[in-house]
Amino acid sequence: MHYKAYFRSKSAIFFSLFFPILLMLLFGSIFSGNGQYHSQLLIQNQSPSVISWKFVSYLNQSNLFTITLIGSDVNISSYIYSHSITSALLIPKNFTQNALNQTKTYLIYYEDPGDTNSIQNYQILNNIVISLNMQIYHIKPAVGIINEPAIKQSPHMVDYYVPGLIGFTILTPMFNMIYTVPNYRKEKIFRQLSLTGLKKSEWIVAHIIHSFFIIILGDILLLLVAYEVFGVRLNLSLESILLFLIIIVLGIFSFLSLGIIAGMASENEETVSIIGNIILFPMMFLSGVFIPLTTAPQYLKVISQFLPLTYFVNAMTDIFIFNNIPMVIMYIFITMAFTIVFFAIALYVFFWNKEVK
Amino acid sequence: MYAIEVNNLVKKYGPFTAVDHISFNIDKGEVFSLLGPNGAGKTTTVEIIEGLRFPTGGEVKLLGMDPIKHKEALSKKIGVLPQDFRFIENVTPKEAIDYYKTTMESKVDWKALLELVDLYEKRNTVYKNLSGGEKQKMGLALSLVNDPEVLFVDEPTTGLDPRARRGIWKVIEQLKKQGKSILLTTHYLEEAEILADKVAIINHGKIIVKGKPSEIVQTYYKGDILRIKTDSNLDALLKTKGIKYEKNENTYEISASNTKEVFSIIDIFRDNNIEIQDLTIKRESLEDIFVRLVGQKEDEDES
Repeated sequence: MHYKAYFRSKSAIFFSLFFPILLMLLFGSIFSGNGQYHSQLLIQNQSPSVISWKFVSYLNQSNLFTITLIGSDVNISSYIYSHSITSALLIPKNFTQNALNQTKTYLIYYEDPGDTNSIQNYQILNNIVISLNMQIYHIKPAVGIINEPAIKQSPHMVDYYVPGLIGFTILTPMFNMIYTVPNYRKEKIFRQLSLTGLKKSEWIVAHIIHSFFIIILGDILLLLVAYEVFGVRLNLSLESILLFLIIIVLGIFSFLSLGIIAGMASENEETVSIIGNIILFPMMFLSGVFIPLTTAPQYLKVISQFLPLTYFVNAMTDIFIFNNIPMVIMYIFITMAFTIVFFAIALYVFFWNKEVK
Repeated sequence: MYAIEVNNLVKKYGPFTAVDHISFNIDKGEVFSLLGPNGAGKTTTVEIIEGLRFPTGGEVKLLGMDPIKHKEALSKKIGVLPQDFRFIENVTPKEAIDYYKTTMESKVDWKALLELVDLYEKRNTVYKNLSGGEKQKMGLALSLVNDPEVLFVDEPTTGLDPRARRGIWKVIEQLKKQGKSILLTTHYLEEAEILADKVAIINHGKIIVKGKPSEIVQTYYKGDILRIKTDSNLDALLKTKGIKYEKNENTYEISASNTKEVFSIIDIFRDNNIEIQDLTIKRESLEDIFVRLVGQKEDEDES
């Protein structure tokens, strides 16, 4: 009965099956490049000469910038402001003369602190300036650096978003319970069910089984889109699939239980919405579902350690990207601990009928 | 053994007494109606008997068992159509019956059940697309999945149109013929009069009167009511003759304790050449008695 009711609900099908695919298409489109850094850079050359244009040429040849030039008669500050430029370089009038005289000269880099690329832009420009200095002073570099892929089957940037999106799908039972539980209480459907002799544990298990099949279906569709549209390549061995299934089952128990707890705490439709958003949105953004927390402040990283979804997403990443089985097993144990606690609380707080439990 | 026994039942919510020392018994195969206005304590009483609420005092037995202690055993023997029945929106009547059959381990024929409640044609229509009457019929069908011995039907026709109401009545009459014990709560007196073998009138948590509808009418019957429409002013004449009446514009209502008195009142009008535009004689019904008794009780409580 639950499956048939579920597949008749357009919103349920959209959010559990098609929304993750939509996110995959979105993230895939944004991050399906070869992962190389690229940024916009406005340049004003107030000292046109062979040296200064050579410097601009080095910047262009690095393929790290899309360069836009403005005339030397333009007021660069006004231009930056009126065109919302976040990254600009001024080569001052005395640049060529100072370079020829080997006198220190400064390029001016205009940055927007809100632009996440500004730090990297500065470092790249600095490195190119160092190379230019070495050329001017005829210094040959003694030490260099080359890069190698950290793991055998080098993943693309888009591959790293797939575990997070699978993490998003595991929230489906939680979404479901947060809205179903208060609705069934309000409509007295639980009271109806209590009179049939159905046990509350049986009802919960039925929803767990139902969620398992919906999530597996959603994840298969997600992976198909990832593979076919964006060429995502994940570690899909028998071992990885088995670990994936174990984590999915634990995740369903965990998040369904959390959904029941949140649903029982909601007295009406207004509080349902508030409680749902308070739990879901911070968890999605702090567990690495959409964005990695590598550059986040330390206190946010600490908070993420207390969120069950973090370990779920980490486990998915270690299964499908890094094939790091010992870490996956550790995450399984941590997720199991969360599951036991949440499930026990859910069984305790969940009742058919307020008075006679 | 009675189907339901209620002895001195009390239910309090803090200082408020919802059910105040009520007692009644329901024989097996009987339709018993709890009749009362909104807020009288009907649903609270029924929910205590169903095992959904704890009584504050008194005793309840359902098929000889405590409804809370023996909830699981009783779930196989009772059916409940609650007030304002609601179900999962995207489920059809057939699917709901199949679900209930599984949970209740019942072998009932879903087709026969839907035909009984006249819902077979809507077997594949999801709940949210059923009309009000059809939703109630679906609830009634679900309450019969386990072929219960005792059926609780709480205000089954509230908010339904007359045709839908009669549809539900027809089903309850069928169930009565099958020998089921039915506890029917309603605030429609016509419903209680037509369906119930026995009635208890309840208000403010107390039973005012109980018995067979015909016995209640006989016991509390105050006679016939003459309703006279006339342009003449009868006040002086009726006062002179010591006849009590109620007046509403040009309509007079006079109570007469028997047929002889009816004719003597008509004779008075004839002797005084009173021109009467309309005359009706009505026997006091259960509804009239109910309104009178409930009104009386409220007056007593206030004083």
